[in-house]
Amino acid sequence: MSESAGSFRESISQLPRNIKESVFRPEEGTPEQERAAAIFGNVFLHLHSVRVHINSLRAAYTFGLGLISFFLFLLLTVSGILLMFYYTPSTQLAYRNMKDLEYVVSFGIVLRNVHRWSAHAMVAFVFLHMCRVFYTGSYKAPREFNWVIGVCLLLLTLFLSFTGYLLPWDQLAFWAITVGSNIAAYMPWIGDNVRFLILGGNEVGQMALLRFYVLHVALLPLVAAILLAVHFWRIRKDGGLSRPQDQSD
Amino acid sequence: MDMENSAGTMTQAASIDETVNEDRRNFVKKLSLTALVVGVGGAVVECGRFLKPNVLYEPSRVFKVGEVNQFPFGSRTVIEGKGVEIVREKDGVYAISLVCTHLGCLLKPVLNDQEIGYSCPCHGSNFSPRGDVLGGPAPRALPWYDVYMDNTGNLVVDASKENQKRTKLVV
Repeated sequence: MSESAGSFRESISQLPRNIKESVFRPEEGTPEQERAAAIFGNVFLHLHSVRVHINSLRAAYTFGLGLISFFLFLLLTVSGILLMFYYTPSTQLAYRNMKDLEYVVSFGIVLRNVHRWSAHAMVAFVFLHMCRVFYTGSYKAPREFNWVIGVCLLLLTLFLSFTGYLLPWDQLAFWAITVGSNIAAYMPWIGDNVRFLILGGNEVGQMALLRFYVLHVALLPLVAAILLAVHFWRIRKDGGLSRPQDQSD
Repeated sequence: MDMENSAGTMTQAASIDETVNEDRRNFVKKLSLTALVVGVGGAVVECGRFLKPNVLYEPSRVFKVGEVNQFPFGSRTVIEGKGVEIVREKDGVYAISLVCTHLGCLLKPVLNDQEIGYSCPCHGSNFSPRGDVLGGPAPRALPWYDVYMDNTGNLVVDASKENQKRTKLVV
């Protein structure tokens, strides 16, 4: 009796520790091994290497442009998901929803502007990131494939901007997509079919709004997230973050 | 010893089986590859076709614009929301597209100019009153559309048919 009561009290007192250990997967070992486990025992960090070359820590070599781009992507995901709660992809409601976000919804104007300016910034930073990779020659072997992935991510960033452009359903949006889809129609042979397919019709209307919405909130972010994972994984597999060579080399 | 023996016989048996079953394996390989191509290819074709709508809920390309006497001689009337202008002249009526042939912006009729009839606000293309390109990036002249009169005396524009010969409807 007393024994079981003791074990009960004991298990209660160990409960916080048990919970902590179940969440954080403790790794026993030397202090260095435990620090390493903090990286590879974490699903979000395990794509990174546990150790980096000291030259990788020279911030002025990369300016962290890729990391900034990724951070903006996360910011856009969070603000975008919140905006989705107040937005309907319908020609009757889209513009009013956008105006409601600006004037009626608490902090709606903040979230809309966070989303809008982050989108502009992401295009800029992805482009700057590409320039940095080019000027440091980081596209060279063995990193050629990661450069290709990066170009795909640049295109996805631009497509995400383009599809998001239509969603406010104002005059700017309507004519921008009219012009943009007509540019696509200049493709040889298949141009008119491509235009018909992306608009879901002959003109920018309800079908086009719905298609752009689905591409903007589901398909393109999903593809971007998958390619981001490949992009980060390849950084590590291709020899770590690009860095200046040692002075002795 | 026993282990070695049994392992040896097994290797022998396996190698005999492989030579015997080569055709069979190739057949199965080809069969499954074909099934894969047919399956994946079919899914791709199906998804592509699925995305092409069969029914469009768009305004008709054939529409009434009103009775002829609403368009006096020498008038040029923009039909709002249709991207078409009705021009009535002494020798007839015609309908001209107001959609820029460059990238599809809506043209602005120019009223105070002898040469320029239409100007594009997007990229600055200029067209003559008959629709010919005078300048800017526009690659083609503005199309004229078929016009006819229905049995109620209303002018009807068929924007799905281009009037290639630029004939005017005599009314």
